[in-house]
Amino acid sequence: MNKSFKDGLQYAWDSTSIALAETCLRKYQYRMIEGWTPHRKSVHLTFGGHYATALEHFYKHRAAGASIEEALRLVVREALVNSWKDEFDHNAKTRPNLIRSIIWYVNEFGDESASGIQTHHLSDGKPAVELSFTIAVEDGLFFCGHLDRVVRYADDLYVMDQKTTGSTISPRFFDGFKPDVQMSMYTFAGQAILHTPVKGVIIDGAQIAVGFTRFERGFTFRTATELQEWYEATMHTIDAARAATARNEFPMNRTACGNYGGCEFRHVCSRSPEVRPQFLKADFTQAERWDPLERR
Amino acid sequence: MSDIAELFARDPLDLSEQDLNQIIARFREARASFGNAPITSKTPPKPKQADVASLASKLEIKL
Repeated sequence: MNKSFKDGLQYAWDSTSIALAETCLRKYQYRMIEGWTPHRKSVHLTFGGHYATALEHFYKHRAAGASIEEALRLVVREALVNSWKDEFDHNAKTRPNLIRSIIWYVNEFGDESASGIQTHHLSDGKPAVELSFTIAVEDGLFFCGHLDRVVRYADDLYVMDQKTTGSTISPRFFDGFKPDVQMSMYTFAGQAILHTPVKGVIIDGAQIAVGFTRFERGFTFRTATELQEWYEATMHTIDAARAATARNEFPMNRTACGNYGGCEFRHVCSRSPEVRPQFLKADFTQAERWDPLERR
Repeated sequence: MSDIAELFARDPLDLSEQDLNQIIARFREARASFGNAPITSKTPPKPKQADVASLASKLEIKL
């Protein structure tokens, strides 16, 4: 039972499901309504997920008083355990390189005393780490998700996020996060949770190569009017997705098929409609649908 | 001292604090070595547009 749906319509939305609906309603149908997922989880998601979790937990341990070394040992052990059974079918995003990247990240950024970055604390004194949110917006709809950490830098608040890539990180890498559903959602949610302005997101990018991991830190900012524009456009996207669901009509966005190396459903949509179910069953698993309200 | 590959092959629940320290130390050593290596571009630089056009003209190639 997917908790984010009521009477067959999605009412709780995270950046993943919003991005799906914005990209292509057919893709939204396949992933969110029917629950089709690739047989094997993407190595990029596996690697990136373990990496982000490790760093989130590093800062959580640090906020709880652990030394850099203690926190590092804890998250290295946790990452080794969590990744033990995973397949890493990639030449650079391997299990040893995951651990290497975590250790090298802590060497690069772990000591924040010189960077001027401090973990923000909530009004109850708790550190602003591992912040899951469910925010009521309008018409019975909710935005939900998870912020790894909120920090204070130069008198402003920012959400912090980790990204991994196989490419060299240039300023263009950070330009790619605007406009962006996830970064706007983070900024919007940060403000809603903290009841104070959040300037944007600090992104720690990690280039994962065979023999090294290289880091760059960048910013993506959001003004109040940009967030208002994002909110209105997102509500429009959600309305369209809910209307499509109610009609059971999910038109393809044929201009999005080639994005990011090609949609995983492209070979399904390129077939005649009467045979598409066979290709879905052959190449995908109908697992539990992605649930934005599920805490990860 | 265990080989790093052997440590990764072990069930992580069987790793001792010393094993973890060894893994961390080995990767830190590797980073120090990487940091001292000369920075070279991974891919050769792309020729500038003007250079390409000039060369195409000399070779009488229509791009």
